[in-house]
Amino acid sequence: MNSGEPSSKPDLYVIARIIKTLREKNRMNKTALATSTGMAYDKLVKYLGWMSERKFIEIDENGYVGLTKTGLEAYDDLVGWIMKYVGHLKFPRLRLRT
Amino acid sequence: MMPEESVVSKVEELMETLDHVKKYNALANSLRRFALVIACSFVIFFVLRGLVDFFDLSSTLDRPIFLLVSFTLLLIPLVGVAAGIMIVRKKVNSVRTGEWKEELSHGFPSALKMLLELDWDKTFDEISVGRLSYFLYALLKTAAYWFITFFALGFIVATFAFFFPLRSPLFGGFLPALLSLLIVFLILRNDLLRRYKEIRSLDMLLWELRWFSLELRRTEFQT
Repeated sequence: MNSGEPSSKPDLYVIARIIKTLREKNRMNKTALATSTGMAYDKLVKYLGWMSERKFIEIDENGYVGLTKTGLEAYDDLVGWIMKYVGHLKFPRLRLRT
Repeated sequence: MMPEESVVSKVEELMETLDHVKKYNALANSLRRFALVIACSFVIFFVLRGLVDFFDLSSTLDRPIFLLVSFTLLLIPLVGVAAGIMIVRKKVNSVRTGEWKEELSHGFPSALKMLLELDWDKTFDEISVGRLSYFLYALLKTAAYWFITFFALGFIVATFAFFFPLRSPLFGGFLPALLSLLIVFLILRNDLLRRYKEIRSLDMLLWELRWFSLELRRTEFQT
């Protein structure tokens, strides 16, 4: 999702990064959020629009972005979903002998 | 442990395992050179042995000197095997590992990114090639040890016969070949067992990751 069009296929990594930052720092303005997440401002705004549509975040009149309960739940769902599969993996102890 | 930390920890395990797979691939890449070095050392050994027989040095040289020549010849394939192993070891040790650690230190989002961006098909190919190469490597090495043991036995018998002359030959035919194979098997028994277990582990890893990648591709997270 490098074109900056999250409505077609959002990058879960980017969404997770935004939510994680918001969860750690609470409300932030868009510029600070862009800096914290290491994203280009334009790209961030597009993602915020996509996330706002799904009520993951709310943006107040001063332009501050905050995480909603839905956003937090979506993040926890994502973590739980990944853990459901990755948690089953058992890795053998490999030790190459030459 | 928090679920996020558990995911990161599991991805860390996965990446460490894939680092190991990279080492098996490095071995695969150096396998041809390993085989070539060993083959060359054996060719040199056989050519020199052929020359010794051609010039009938066993009867023209004094017995101790002839034994010394035989021993020196035996060192050639030994050096070849040692050089081959060193080449493989150098290649395996040059594999860069842990390059993902810095990125993974950013927590769950980075772990997620790594999982989603992994080239699974390439990983499966690497595991398959690594597994096969590891088997071939063990096979070549065992065969080389067998040859060396076979000729070393011949040398020991010749030395023994020098000190304790016998009328009839001490042994011949298939016996030295079987005996040397038995000796190599006894010496390498634990090593071969460990290699077998490791190949089985690579098999299991392949199945685990195939299952995981299928689940990952099949399911779409509904936001």
